[in-house]
Amino acid sequence: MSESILTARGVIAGYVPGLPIVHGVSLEVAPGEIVTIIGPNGAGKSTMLKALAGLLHIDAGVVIQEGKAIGNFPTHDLVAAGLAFVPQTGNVFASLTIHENLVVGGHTLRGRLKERLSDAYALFPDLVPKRNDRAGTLSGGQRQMLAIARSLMTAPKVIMLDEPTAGLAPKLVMQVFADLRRLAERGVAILMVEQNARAALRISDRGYVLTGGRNFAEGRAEDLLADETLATAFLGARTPARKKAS
Amino acid sequence: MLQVREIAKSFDSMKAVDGVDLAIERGTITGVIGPNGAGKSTLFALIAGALEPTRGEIIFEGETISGVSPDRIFRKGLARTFQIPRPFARMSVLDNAMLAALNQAGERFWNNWWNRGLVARQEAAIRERAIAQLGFCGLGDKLYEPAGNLSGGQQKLLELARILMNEPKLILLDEPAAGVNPALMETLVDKILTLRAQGVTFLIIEHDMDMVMHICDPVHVMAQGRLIFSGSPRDAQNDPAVLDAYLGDPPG
Repeated sequence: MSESILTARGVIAGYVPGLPIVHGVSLEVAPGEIVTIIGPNGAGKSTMLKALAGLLHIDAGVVIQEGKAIGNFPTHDLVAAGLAFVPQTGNVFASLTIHENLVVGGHTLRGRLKERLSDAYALFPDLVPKRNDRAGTLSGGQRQMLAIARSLMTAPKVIMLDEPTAGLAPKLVMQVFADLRRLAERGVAILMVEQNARAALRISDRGYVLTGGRNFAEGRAEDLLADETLATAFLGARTPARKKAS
Repeated sequence: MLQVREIAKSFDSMKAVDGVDLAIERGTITGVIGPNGAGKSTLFALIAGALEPTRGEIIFEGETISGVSPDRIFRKGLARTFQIPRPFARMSVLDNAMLAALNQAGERFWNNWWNRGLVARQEAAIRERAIAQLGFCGLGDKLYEPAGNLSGGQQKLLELARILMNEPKLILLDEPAAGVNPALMETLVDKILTLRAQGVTFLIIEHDMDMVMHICDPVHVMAQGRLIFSGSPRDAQNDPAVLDAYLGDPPG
């Protein structure tokens, strides 16, 4: 793995002050790498991602991007620093056209809008014939494509995605993953949360397994796919403890 | 005690519950687990009468209850809690519990004129019962707090106290552990075990595997609207189909 572009150390965060959901999670992602966060319900995966994206307050811990501490930066500063976030739902403006969505995604750009638009269409040619359709008319897979394309308008170095394949048919899941792979090959660092653990790990370089708001395991994707760690994380330890651990 | 037969529920073309058979034995704590979107909460809503099944039948204590309204099912002794409790936030904890009692004489208009003694006596009795149930649920020192001031975990305990006002025989709990801190979790588990010892049967949807392993037996696993496993929690842990349901995409 080359040097990381985004590093989090001991991040504590949650929705309500004093009630953390994420209890000190560390992770990192390098340019050109796909890193997937997996774990059972309530593990804190999405919360961690939202904290990194500046949507939730980080109570403790550090987030470093390219040598600069960016934890708790306002979202627009994070975007300016090269971070993009694709939420799980509500990630396109349904009443705007595809083209308008992309333009809105690039509203912070000065002058380079045309260039970035043609780049987005080049990456997602399926969007071209639909450019004047309202985003609300798109299918689930196309909507996800548009959301990713929109996040690319600011030419981010790191893209964070919250369950990009949720609710998609298996064929479209593979399509979205293939799109992400292409982005990674261009040098973008990709950090995503996925429910579809095995399929996501298959196209990832590395993975982090969270349980109960903490790091449970991490490693190369193929190693995580091969061993018992995932079973333990999702279904509990094989010899159940008498009392609850957490 | 409860038989679910070939129950199914579709929303447009989406089959949320797709032909589930389930039998709940009296005195058990039965767990229902499964990945997100498996249809667990829809199954609960069908059993509790909040949704009408597309097909199938539900029998509780020998009576068909599918298609019966939720309040009538509640009167028969089948009560449920919700994943996210919604108490009357501005009313006190005590008032929240008291109004859960069924058949209050004061609900009848003329009783408040001609039977004031009865109304007052009954209200005093209900009050006492509510205080006892809230005490049992560990909320004895919160009686006069507005319910909206309670933490998420305490609101779940209040919900339990409310349904206990009517001495249910079967209690459906939807994710009792979600968002509850470890100390309150112990209280909740303790209450569930105490009630079970008193003869109450439980059906629990839960994601917290530690809790499921600790108190549930048997466990039913749902995935994509179907039942894919029934058995002991330990066997569920070692079942390849269960793991595939959670991790997606079988290996290979």
